[in-house]
Amino acid sequence: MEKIKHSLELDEDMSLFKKGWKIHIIAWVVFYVLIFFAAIGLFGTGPLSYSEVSNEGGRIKYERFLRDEAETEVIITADNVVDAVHLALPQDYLDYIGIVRFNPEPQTRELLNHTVVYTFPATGIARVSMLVKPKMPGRLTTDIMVNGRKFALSHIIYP
Amino acid sequence: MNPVIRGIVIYLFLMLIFRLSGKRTLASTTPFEFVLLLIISEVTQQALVGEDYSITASLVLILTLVGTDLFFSVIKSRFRMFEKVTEGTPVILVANGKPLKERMAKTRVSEEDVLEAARNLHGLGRMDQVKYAVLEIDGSISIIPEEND
Repeated sequence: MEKIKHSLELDEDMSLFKKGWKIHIIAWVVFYVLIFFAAIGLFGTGPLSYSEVSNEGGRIKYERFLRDEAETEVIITADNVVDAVHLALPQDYLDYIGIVRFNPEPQTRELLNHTVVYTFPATGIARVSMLVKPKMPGRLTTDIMVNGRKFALSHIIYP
Repeated sequence: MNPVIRGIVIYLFLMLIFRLSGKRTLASTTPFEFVLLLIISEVTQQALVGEDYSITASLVLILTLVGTDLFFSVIKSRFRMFEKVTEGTPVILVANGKPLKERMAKTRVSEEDVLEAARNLHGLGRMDQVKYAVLEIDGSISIIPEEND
């Protein structure tokens, strides 16, 4: 870089400027890496975040990465339903995740042994949409039961 | 999240991002950059308050932001090096009418930017009329005209 002699009363520090320049380049690379991963869903809403768990009872589509106080949708599909879908959400899940609304609305809700059980009358293939909103940041791994079948969900909730 | 923690996190993040993106970024040199700055302030406001529109949260946030700024201004006044690291130092871009190309490239300032500042500040029309052009820590360009004897 050009070295000059000047008559200005100026607090120019070129060694710091050169070091700063190198840090800037690293920071810009970090910015673009973060933007790329954010675009593909590292902080939610993207293919990296979209997840699905399934078993012989059905499947649950949800987002792995959530942001505090940002709503997201969990879609529960139950196969071979005889008369109703019984969705059991454990209390540790509800401590982190608030339920905004169900579509369709449950017919009943019961509190059974630290688990809230929602009942939706249905037959055949039933699809329930659950709009949720994280209440606090953290890491959450839990089991949701749908008609007695276990689905393991894992969330990282960013602040 | 607690408003105090929100305020401190946002303050530190903004300080970091503005320092690392360079002096010329968001120096409001173009109308678009000014609009971008407004958008950033709007996004920041949402992140700060979330869904808490209470007066208490606003007062706590204002107190936190002013308190954090006061804290850093005291640190900067006591430790000159900290100020240099967090705010940078001025950089000479033109000396005796000659543009210092490498410095200008690294600070993303073009000769046209310097000439624009020369026109605006001193009514100068040519580079050889500029004795020094300095990129200040706020991203603005100061011009010292060549003295005519």
